[in-house]
Amino acid sequence: MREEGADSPGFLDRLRAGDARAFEELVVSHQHRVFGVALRMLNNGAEAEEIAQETFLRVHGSLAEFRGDAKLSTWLYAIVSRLCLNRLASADRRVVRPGDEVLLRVADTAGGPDANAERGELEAALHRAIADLPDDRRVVVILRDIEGMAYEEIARALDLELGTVRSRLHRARMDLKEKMERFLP
Amino acid sequence: MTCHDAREWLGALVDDAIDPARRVEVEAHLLACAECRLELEGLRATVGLLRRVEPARAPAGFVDRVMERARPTPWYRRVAAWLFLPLSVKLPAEAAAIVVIAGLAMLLIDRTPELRDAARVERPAPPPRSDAPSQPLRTAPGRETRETPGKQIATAPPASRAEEIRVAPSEKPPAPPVARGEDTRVASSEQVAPAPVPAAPPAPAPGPPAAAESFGEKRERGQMERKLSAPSAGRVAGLSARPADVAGRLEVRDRSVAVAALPDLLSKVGGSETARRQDGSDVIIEVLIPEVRYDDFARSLEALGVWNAPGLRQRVMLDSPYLHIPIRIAE
Repeated sequence: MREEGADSPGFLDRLRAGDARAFEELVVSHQHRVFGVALRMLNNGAEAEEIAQETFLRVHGSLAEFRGDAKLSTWLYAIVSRLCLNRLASADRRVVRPGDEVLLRVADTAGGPDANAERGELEAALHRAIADLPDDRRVVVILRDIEGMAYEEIARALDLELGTVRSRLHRARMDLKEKMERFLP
Repeated sequence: MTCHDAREWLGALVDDAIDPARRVEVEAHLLACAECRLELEGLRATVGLLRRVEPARAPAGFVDRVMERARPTPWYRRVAAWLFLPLSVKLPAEAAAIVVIAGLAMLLIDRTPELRDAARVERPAPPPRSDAPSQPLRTAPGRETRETPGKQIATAPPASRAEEIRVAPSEKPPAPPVARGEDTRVASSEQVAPAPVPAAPPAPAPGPPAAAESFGEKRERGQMERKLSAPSAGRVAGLSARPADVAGRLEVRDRSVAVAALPDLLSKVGGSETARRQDGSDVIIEVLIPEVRYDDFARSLEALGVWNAPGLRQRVMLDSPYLHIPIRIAE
């Protein structure tokens, strides 16, 4: 199932009716994005999978209550974002081990060894810069600049004012710009 | 528009998420401000870096694991999961359950008199003190009370009337002698209530107890049966040494017939003869009768002749259900 069809009335009806095949289609189509948000927020693969699974299970348990006011993907992002923020705020948050760190990759993999080394350095710097952002700014920049959500969707998912989204996004970008200065043209 | 104001909107300008009027203001400022233009270019480059980040991919088998967890758990697995809960969960839960059950049991016992009586530990009676001074108690006018511990009766009869509860002279109502011309020992040992008191309740009906008999009723019946069992010799001695509870006169046509019939009447009501003597032409027979059978016994005596008993002394039945009755049989 393509993501564009996830909010079609027929698909939502199947989900609400408890159609296991429909739910599986939903998981298949959204697994990477949900997992990606969790991974970049938590910076730990095992925790990210745990949170991503929990996100889909919560959706599964609450499908009957989903009214369809927002897009299904917005609902999913809202759940995964809140679960991540709660996990980050919890006292028993596990310390991130170096081996679990996310390795961000840039899309363009062409080039020689020098280009790869430079790209590797860029990836590591970008990863560190994102990870160093405050949680409330990091989630906004991930949802906007990596996941491509609209301001209005972010505001709805995080239950924020539109101006707050814009302000947090601006500050997050300015932080990143400062830290990535040497990679910028 | 200041640089500060303009830079607040640069991000929205990059994302094309700015309303047209604001866009005009910001773009006008950018035309006039080289630093803000540089800032905008840096911001665009940063966003460009972020948007080139390759999307993450969920690990292999992720969908299967989610579907497995989403599948409803069969009831037997839920039961098994509960049964094999870790001790860290089960032990506190069981401890809490025990506390709750114990509390409920105590509440039930406290609110149910029968259970409370059954749970009470009966203390043995203190040993009799022969040299102990008497403990006179005051009773209400018209009531005469005697304290005679059961153990004392069964083991050692009271030596004197010192154990009787004495009625204060000022409260003791003037009472005529019960039976004129009666044996002096009987008369002297008798305390007569001012008014006759109804006899003891009728004997319980024979036969098995009703099915719906309550715990309290069963216990009461058992106590009564134990009390009504034939008194031992020592106990008879103790009981007969007590003052008489009822003094009666039986006037018959043939004294010898009445004297001969009396043992049979006694056996029918579970009583026993304790003493017999001649007083002139009369015969005085002292008997012990279960108090609850007194009415039956009195009716049997009336069948033999005229039974005249001025009244049954009102007693406090702390220990013995037997009445001590001297019967003067006269023609």
